[in-house]
Amino acid sequence: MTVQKLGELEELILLAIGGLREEAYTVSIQQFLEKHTNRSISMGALYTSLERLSKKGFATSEMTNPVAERGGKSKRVYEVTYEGECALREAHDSRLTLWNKFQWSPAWA
Amino acid sequence: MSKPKTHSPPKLAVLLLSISVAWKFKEEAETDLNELFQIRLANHGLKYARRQYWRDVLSIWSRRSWFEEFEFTHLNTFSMFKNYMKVTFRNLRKQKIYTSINILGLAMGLAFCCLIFLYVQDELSFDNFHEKGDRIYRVERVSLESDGTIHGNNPNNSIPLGPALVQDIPGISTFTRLYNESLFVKSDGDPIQELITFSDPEVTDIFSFTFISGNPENALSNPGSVIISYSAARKYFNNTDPLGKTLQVRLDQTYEPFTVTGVYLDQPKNSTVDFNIVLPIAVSPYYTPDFIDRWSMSIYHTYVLVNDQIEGEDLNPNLDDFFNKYHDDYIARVREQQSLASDAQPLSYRLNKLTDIHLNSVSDPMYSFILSGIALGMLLIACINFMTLSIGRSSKRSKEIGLRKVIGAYRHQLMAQFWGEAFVICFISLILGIVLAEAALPVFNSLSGKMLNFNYFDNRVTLLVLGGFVVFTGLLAGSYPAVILSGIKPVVTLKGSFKLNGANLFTRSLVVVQFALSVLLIIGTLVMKNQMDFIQEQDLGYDKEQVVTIDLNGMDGIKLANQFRNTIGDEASIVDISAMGNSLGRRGSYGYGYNYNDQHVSLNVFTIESNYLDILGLELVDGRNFNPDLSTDSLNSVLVNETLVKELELEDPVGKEIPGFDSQNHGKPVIIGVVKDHYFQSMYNSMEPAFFTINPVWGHSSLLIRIRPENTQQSLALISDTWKLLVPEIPFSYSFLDDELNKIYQNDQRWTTIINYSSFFAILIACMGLFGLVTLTVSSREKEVGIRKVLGATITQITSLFAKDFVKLVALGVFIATPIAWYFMNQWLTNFAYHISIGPVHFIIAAVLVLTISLITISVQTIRAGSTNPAETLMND
Repeated sequence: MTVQKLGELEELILLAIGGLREEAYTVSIQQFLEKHTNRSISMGALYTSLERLSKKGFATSEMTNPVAERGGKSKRVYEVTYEGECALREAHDSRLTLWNKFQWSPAWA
Repeated sequence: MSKPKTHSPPKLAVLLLSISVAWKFKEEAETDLNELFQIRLANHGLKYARRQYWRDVLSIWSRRSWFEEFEFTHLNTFSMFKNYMKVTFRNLRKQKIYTSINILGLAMGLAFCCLIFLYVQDELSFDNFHEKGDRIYRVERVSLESDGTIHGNNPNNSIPLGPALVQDIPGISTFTRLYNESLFVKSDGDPIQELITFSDPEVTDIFSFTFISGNPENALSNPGSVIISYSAARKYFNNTDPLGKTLQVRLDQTYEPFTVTGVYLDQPKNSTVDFNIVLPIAVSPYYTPDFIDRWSMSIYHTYVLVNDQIEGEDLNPNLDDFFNKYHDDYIARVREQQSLASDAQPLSYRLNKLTDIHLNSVSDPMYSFILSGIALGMLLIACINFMTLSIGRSSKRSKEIGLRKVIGAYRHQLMAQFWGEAFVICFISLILGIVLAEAALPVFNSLSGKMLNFNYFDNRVTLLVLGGFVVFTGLLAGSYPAVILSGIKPVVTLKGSFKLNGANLFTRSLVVVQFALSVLLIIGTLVMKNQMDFIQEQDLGYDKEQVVTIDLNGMDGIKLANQFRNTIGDEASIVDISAMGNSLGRRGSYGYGYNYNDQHVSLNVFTIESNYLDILGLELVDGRNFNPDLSTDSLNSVLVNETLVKELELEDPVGKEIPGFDSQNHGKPVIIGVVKDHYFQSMYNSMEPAFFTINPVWGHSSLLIRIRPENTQQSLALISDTWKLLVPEIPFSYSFLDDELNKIYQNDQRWTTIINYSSFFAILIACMGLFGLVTLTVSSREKEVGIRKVLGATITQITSLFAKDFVKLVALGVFIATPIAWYFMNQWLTNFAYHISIGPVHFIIAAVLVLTISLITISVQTIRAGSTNPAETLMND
């Protein structure tokens, strides 16, 4: 199996899915990221990233029953897969190692 | 969140999203974006929500995968497309004759269109590069009809006009006066004659100058300063920065130094005002105390900048008042003379918008229209080739169409296929056409007198128009096969009994149109050529050959002529030398007008020397020539031409005065002789009255030297050496009188050549089409020919069997074109006061020419058909 890389935006989206749990669908992911990272992600970028995450097997999605607040339409709820969590953990661990080795410049302290 | 749902997302964006056909998130995205819109609306307001909605839609669009989308909708579109292309190219390759006729014809038509497009674009963009172009106006003195329409205008005006306009008329903010003169300029090297513009310092505010050196502000405020174009800077100062250097300009017979205060980039060639070297107006000739306040002197062009939101016409009433204020005597006199009411406005000032000047006054927009018409006509002829040949080939394609339909092709798919083929051919033709156009560009430039070039990438319009040509031609040329052929019934074609109804008539009328267009152009060529020959060969009444003319550049003509006569007058190669004060062939170079018996008389004035009649070979019909020894002759005598005698109804004119003539500096001269009428103007004008005087008060402008026809080069060298001796400060430059006269007709000469070329290509394309059509007809009737031959028909009979049909069509084309050509060519001929009349000869020549060419074209194929062995064609059945 080829090693799938996790892009930066993909990582954020995956984290958002994990953070939102059952409520993780496109609109909420977008709003969540906007709220917590101060980054307004365009829907176009979001759809492509979600599509890519599904293809890589890091996230799965399924349609819910129709909901009233969406005008009687159902929504696609995303979930982080096992592979997704592994990739996140790996990313987190390698980041942590790097963080620990990072030496803050006294000049900016 | 319970805000009432009063706002909805931007409609256009919704539409954009909805037409992304096959995206699998489409429905979801629509709901998502709606939801987001409502959230954003509640949190950040409408503007933000709408903006974000747009951003999302665009981001979705920009990331769409087109390929995926095609695969979703039509799984076999791509492979069918490949198949179409394959069939197209197979067809093209299989039928080389038709392919080359189509592609070559269309390429020639398109090449013409490209060239004409460049020409028209250049014409239409004249003066467009000035940023304030829509606010710049040229002030013109006009004569008005009683309803206020202009029937005569003169851009030459006086010095005080500009300042007075700014002072009196509220909408006019700035002015500049311009005066052009050809003067000698030098820095270190030899002097060169250059076009110099004298102008007010405001010229850089009004017109757009891009300074690359120096400060545009105050560049011309110092009378000792000069600004020059980049090309002039390169010419005089090589590659050094000319700023602060000195340029010498010959003003009033001596060179005066000017300091360069600015260098600007050369302006585009399609400009009414040409700034090459600009000097301050204060040093211009006639900018003297005598003239500064004089309203009656008119040599300066005045351009004004009008305030925003004011149109030139809005100021007309103000300009009328203005004119009445400053020309009160003049207008009162004119009203009285023409017995008009005291509030009539026969004369006034008017503003002519800079961007309108070229097409309204300088170049006739008619030329652009005619050229575009010719180009479209050529393209039409080529398109007709395409159509008739596809119709002719339709029986061969019909089986393919039938089969495609049987397999399940829809009609629109077949239409797409045929139009697609047409587009492929057009595209190939366009590429070839551009190559042809590029190759022909130098010739076209010299014909049209422009500096055109293809800026494919600088100029987006060019690309757009080239694309437009392909679409237009493709649509037109492919229309018949696409619309008609796609509609045939498969059963009929597959049974083999296919015949297109009405196609024959349609093809025939197209051929008629083609040949009518060709004949039109050929008649045009013939008539124009005849007229131009007529002009060249017309006896002008004087001998224009072997006369050298030298511009005097403001020097004393009589003095110089005498010096020349004293030095080289006795040389064998020099026949005669004379100074004169008018130029032959030019209209109204010098004249005098006055009113006599309620009529305006304008006389052409020729200042001559007594040997003038001899040097040009003019005849006297009455009286005597000037006698240089008689002092009264110089001051008080004139010769007049026959037209003057006729128009002023003089009887026995010799010894009388010119009626009503009383000039300040010439008094009332007595007529001592009558000169036979000669065409001293061009053929565009009819004969006008003129008088000849040896009184030098009218001034001289050029020197005429008649030389012997032998050893022209030696004679010229002699004149040149003498010139250098006598006038060392000015380089010798000369021209031959007959060359000068030919230049007058340059424009029409150009037109003749352009029409000549186009008629050649038109007939060529039309004949190529005819050739293809005959080939098709002959090949489809091979068996018939075989049977006829077996039954005893001769080659001649068979050839005429085919030829008769086509010759009839061509003849009909000639018949249709004749009245149209007659009308247009008569219109053109009215430009000339002296012109040929269009006779049946022109039409007969054109008809015979076209018929012969088409007969030759036809006979190549028909003779072949007639001489084939019937056994070969009948063998297979």
